[in-house]
Amino acid sequence: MKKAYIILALLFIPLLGFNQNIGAGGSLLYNVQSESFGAGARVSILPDSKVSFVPQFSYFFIGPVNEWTAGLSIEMKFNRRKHVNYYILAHGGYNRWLNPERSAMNDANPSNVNLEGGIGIAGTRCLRPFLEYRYNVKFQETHFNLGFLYIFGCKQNTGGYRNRSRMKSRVKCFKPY
Amino acid sequence: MKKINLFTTLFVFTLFITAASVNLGCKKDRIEVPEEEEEELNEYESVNDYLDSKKQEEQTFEITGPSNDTIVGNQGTRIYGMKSCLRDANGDTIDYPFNVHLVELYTPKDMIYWQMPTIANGNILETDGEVRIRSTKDGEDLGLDCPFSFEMPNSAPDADITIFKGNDNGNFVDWTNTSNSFTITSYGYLGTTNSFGWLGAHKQIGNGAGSTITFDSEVDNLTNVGIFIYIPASKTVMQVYNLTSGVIADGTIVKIVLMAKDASGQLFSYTDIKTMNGSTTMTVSLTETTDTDLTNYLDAL
Repeated sequence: MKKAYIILALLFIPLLGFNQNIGAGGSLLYNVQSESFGAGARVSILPDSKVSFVPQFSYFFIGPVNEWTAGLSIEMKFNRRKHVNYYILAHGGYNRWLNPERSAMNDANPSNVNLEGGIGIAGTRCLRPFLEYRYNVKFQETHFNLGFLYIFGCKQNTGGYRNRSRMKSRVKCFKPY
Repeated sequence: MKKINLFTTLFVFTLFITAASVNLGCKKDRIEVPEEEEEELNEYESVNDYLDSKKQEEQTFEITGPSNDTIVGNQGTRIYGMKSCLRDANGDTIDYPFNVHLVELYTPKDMIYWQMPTIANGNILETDGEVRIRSTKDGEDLGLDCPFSFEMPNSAPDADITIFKGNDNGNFVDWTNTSNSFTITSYGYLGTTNSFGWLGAHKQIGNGAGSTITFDSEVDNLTNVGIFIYIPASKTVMQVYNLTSGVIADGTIVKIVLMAKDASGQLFSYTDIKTMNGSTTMTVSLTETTDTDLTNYLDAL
């Protein structure tokens, strides 16, 4: 088991830190239907790739519905601009509804499978604001996700790729090779 | 510096706003109490037909000459010779024969069937009976030019009972105190009146102080239900209009009876006894009954 952890860590080391392959951030959440507010945290793996993997955790703690969700989101950028990226996302995870007893819903269970789809818009610099709008298939609810993502190893506006024709991607952060 | 694609930005922005505002396919099941499906209430026909079928029929007496001009109703009401006071529509005297018509209501059951409550301008009346007297000749109503006498049977007449006149206001008969006393006789109450119509041997006991009962039901539509309150102590009959009773003094014991008939002719009823103690809402549920059971209940009021 210990060996497995080491292998897993070694696999992730190349992704960490120095080459902009990892971002981390937080967000504020508002569920339109449950009228509840919360906060979220996420790590973005390969934030500059067309497809990003985003493990995340959200916790709604203000409002009628208290719950937390842990899961993985897959984001696919369908329009990549200089300052913003537009993306669609799919999210799967585990949902723990903390106060189902307060609900008049017939089949209110504390443990639920979470499946969401949505769209998002995000910045492209080192500190990237993002806004997502998601639809929860299970509860048929939507929620907004407004936050910031910081890209580790990002050196915005420093370094040498000023000649855009030499840049491999539209990412604005300095990307050492 | 390359500009942001305006079209894409607007498209995405519009998508956000639309999705947020329309919320198609979204539910608030987790926070909203589901509206209970409104159960269909039991519907009833007007109870008037049933009550009319049960009420005392008006008695008609043909007066052919002086020898039979004093009549006695089947409940004991006496009407003394009145021919000299009768006038036709032109104000002229009339000749024999003529008819006298009489309705006698001496029991709460008969008052209920006739929907003749004993209430005067909202105030409860103690009653020793109600009668309706009128006269016709050749089908035409006759008037009176002078008083005639009538006598209502009672084994223990009350000296405070006076003659009340009933005035049909279009919805029900309201009573007005003429302040004319009866003469107490060995037979009962001997009174005189110079007008036909409803006459009551009543005494006002209500003074507007007290409480009301509002009737409600989760299963029955009470719109066409006949609702009556009987006060045994004063023999008062109250009919409830618009689901709220008149004012009844606190501490009064009342008997409540609701009657209804559905489209198939099935009878329904609800009965209760309570002591007034502040205004209250009574939630009722009618159950099937029979004419016999309902009649027996009214007889025992």
